[in-house]
Amino acid sequence: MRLPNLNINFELKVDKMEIKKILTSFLMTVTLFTGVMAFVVTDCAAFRIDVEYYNPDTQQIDTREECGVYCDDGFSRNMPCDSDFIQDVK
Amino acid sequence: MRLLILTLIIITSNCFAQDKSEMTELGYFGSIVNIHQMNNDSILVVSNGLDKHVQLYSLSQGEILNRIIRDGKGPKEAKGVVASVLENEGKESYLYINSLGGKFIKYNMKDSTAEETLTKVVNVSFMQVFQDDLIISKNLVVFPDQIKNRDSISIGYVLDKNSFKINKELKVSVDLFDIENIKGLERLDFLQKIDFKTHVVYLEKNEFLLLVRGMNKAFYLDDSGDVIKVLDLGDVLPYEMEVVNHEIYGYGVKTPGIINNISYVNSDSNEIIISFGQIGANIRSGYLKIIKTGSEFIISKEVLSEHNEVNFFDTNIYMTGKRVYIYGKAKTRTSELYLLDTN
Repeated sequence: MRLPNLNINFELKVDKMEIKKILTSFLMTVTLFTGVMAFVVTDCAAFRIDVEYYNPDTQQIDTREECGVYCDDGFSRNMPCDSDFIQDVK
Repeated sequence: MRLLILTLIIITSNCFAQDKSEMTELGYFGSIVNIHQMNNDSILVVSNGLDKHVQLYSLSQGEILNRIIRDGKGPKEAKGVVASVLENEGKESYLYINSLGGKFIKYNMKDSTAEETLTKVVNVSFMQVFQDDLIISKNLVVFPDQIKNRDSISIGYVLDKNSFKINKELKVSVDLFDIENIKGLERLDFLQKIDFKTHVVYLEKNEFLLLVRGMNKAFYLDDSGDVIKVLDLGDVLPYEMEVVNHEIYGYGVKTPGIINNISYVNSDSNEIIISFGQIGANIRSGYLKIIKTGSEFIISKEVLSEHNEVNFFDTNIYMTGKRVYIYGKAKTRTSELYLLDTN
């Protein structure tokens, strides 16, 4: 089956007001997109650390392993070290 | 057409505004713990992740002149540096290093000799040399359910700066942390902890200022923990800790990036500079200056210009004279260090 040849002529007829509208719309879209991205995208990382504490029973400094996540917006929470989020962290 | 040209000019000027031409990246130093000014030309960068923990960096030559304190568990070595402070005493300079396992190293920068002492002091968040003492601040780990039954909490120690013997333990009322009024606390499950990084700064004998990361209050206390004055920083740093629900990880504590580190202390002029900033939470980076005059405190705030912002998890600032050093852990998970030319 052959497609018919289509001859389409575009005629660009824009006045100054339309350019202004297009530019305003473009800039607003960019601003809105950047704002939404800044609001939505937070970067988080899992952590696995040895926390030291003085054990009065043994009179020695002992360590315990702690795991969790922290994000660039200040969010943090601890998690079990065997959870899926943590397992890849050395 | 005029509008089009005008738009192009605006876009071009925005691009220039993003240019960090005033900031110089000083190179890679591992994971930075602290920065100290040695003299007009050189700084000490204290870090983890490299084979030596301290790099002496020359600003004029743009290179590392010396590296000291080897990574390890042997004599005069440090395994994981936690905190540091530089003391300039006349012509002598001593660098105090606290590392994992409660080890303190006192390094004489002039003759490159070091002494070390093992202590029971762990979880150090900040150190200050004040007269003959080494003031230790602690990282506190608090489980809200457990803290309810306690009256006081240990926030640090006063050590003899030569023997590292504990002369005094600093305790304050648990109420200062106002844990029960953290927004949304009831949603936090009992296994979740809250971290408080404390900064104890002595300005006068037997009196200190307590600043806590994420808290927009500062407390002026005496040695026995009694409150002399509470400084409300809420007008200049209107951010508070809260419990929020993360769409992936669930409920956790959101700590605003304020009181990130102590940038400068001068106990002769009763002046403290504190850094803040957390781009991920829309907290612009800058520093607070607190000056004690008599019984009053003068507080002023400076915010860095937008094009000098670096997207760190937390912005740390170290200041000396007109030089401002900005460092922190970047989104690439590595530490970065910049010198901001303020001239």
